[in-house]
Amino acid sequence: MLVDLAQNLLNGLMTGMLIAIPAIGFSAIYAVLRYPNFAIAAYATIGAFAGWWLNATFGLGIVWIILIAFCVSGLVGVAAEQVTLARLRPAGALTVAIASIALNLMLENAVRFLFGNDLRGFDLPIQPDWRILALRIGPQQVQNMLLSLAIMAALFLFLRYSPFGKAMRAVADNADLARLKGINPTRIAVATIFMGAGLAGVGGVLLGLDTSIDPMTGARILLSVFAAAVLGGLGSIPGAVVGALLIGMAEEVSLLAFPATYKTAIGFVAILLMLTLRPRGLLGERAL
Amino acid sequence: MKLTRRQTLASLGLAAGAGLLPRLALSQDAGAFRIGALNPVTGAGGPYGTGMQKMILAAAEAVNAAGGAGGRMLEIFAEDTQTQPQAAVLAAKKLIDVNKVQAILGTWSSGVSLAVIPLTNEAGIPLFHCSGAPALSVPPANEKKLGYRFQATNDRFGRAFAEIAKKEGFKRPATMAFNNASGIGNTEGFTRAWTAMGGEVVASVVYEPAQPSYRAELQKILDAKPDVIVTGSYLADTTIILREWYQTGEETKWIIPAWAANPELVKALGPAVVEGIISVDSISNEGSPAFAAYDAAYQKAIGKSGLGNVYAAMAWDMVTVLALAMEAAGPGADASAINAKMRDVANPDGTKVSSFAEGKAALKNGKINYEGASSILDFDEFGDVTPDFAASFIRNGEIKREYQVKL
Repeated sequence: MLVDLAQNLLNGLMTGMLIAIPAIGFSAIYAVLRYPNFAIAAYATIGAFAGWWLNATFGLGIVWIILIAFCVSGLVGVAAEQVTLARLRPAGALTVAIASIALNLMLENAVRFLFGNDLRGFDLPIQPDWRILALRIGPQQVQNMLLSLAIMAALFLFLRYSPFGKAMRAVADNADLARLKGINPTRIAVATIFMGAGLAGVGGVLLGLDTSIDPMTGARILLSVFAAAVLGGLGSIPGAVVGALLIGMAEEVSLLAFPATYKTAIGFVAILLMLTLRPRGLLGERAL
Repeated sequence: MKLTRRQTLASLGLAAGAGLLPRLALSQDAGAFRIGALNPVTGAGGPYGTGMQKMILAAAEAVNAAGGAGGRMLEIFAEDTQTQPQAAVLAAKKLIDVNKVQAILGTWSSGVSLAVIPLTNEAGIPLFHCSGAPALSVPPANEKKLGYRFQATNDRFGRAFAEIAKKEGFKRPATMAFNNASGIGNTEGFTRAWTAMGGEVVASVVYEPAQPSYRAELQKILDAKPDVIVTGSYLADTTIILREWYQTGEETKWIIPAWAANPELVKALGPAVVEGIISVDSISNEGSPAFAAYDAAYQKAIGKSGLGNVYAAMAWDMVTVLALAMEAAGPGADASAINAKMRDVANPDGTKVSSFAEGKAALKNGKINYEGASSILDFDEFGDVTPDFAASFIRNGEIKREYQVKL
């Protein structure tokens, strides 16, 4: 029993690290633009397909795949945002959020149109798990976790110390004040979308590495990502990470007590509890 | 003759309008028989849905080329179920209310068919489906006897699984089922048949679709130390489960329905992971002339062998057998008159025929028995067919059929 608990916690930690990256993207977009962008599911799918295509066509290694997938989904995100969502922003967050669901469907089907419905796997060997004491852990999971950590560290440094990152945080904290200080909100918006969509794309690649990809890849994690962001506090980047880890572990551990069919309910229950008891989330709204 | 500018414009407009005319005329023609092709173009059935839809179109073309059925041409309205009940219900409503279809063909996945059949019953039109849930045989779903199943029931699949597990000498099976009527139908059918043989199922789990990982569910099953895991699963979830199972290094065997254990699975995971998996399917009527005709049409439409999509063969048969029933019922027959002729044209004791054209000619001389591309297509009292099953083994990345199972 104790071993099961430890194993499930470990699995949950791994899943959480995987959800954390797109959750950061989601939260970053919320922090700056003040609307929940559900199209991140499609951005994750697009990133996964871009990565798969690079891997299958050119045999590129994982670091290159992640970098390019980041840029591809980032660019798609910016283009989609500028063509569709940006002009709806004056109509309010709810309008943009609903439009982002529509955008998500359109992008998902565009991927389906281009690549078809077939399942695809990365051309990487599937390695057996390592066994540590009675626990199992996959090399791919460990690699994903290290990659997630590296990405989070890079992101932290970027937001903390680069002028752009500082400007982004300034807009997130107080958009009006930032504008008075001469920060161009449009530029910041575009950069944030690029970063957010790019991170979602990287999340898609990581998920694809560990499982397989198809046009529904992003949709598989959307609820968990949203729940993680709400749990940690919408708009808070460390919150997104904490939320993702908690959701990941809660989902896995729930299996010890409840039938597996209730696993998806965990995300909803978390959202419900959080919005009822502490609407600003575990870590509040501070971006970083 | 000199044209003014106005006359030129008017004639251009007319010409453009004329281009639309044949289509308009056809769709307003009271004589056309309207069929809804309601298939899983996207979602879990995505690998099959496009082929199914194209075969409904191709078979309808063949019927129309032979002069139509019962004096009427077939007209197809295509929709996507997205392999989701809600989307399927919306699409079925549109087909029935807006397009006024007189039959709906090709729903796939039991959740979808169970959601759609109340609508077709209400409208008094037939639903031909490829779903396995036993509930589709009996009231309330099939109280009007308008539902026809071109696929084996999940219960029959489960029995086939049990026969294979016994033949392979397994002692400690466990089950994993996707949480829908089909997935659970498979594993429950297996459990019923297996316990009837005096066996015991050591563990079972029902899991949710679309999860990023199934490690915990798998762990629960592997803890019971099964020697084989029997699934009622689909392709996307099976891929993830098998990958995670392979990583654990456990030596368990697998018995998986063929709509999940197919060449796509091998492609997604690579030969090492899927080595030795037993893939169970109902068999198309492969040596038959009807299958050859279907296969040729499939090659032409999709560019792949028709062997890879048993549901497309079923879709082909759906149109053909419906058209034969229309022909037998005669001009102007309504849905119930056509429905009454279904068994007359498909079941034994008539001249065996393999295509619509052949059947149309033979009907002039008495009863016919359509031997389909998907099976010999004999409907029992519930509107179910009983195909044979085959156990295929995946070896070195190839899915090879090793033996047949007759129930």
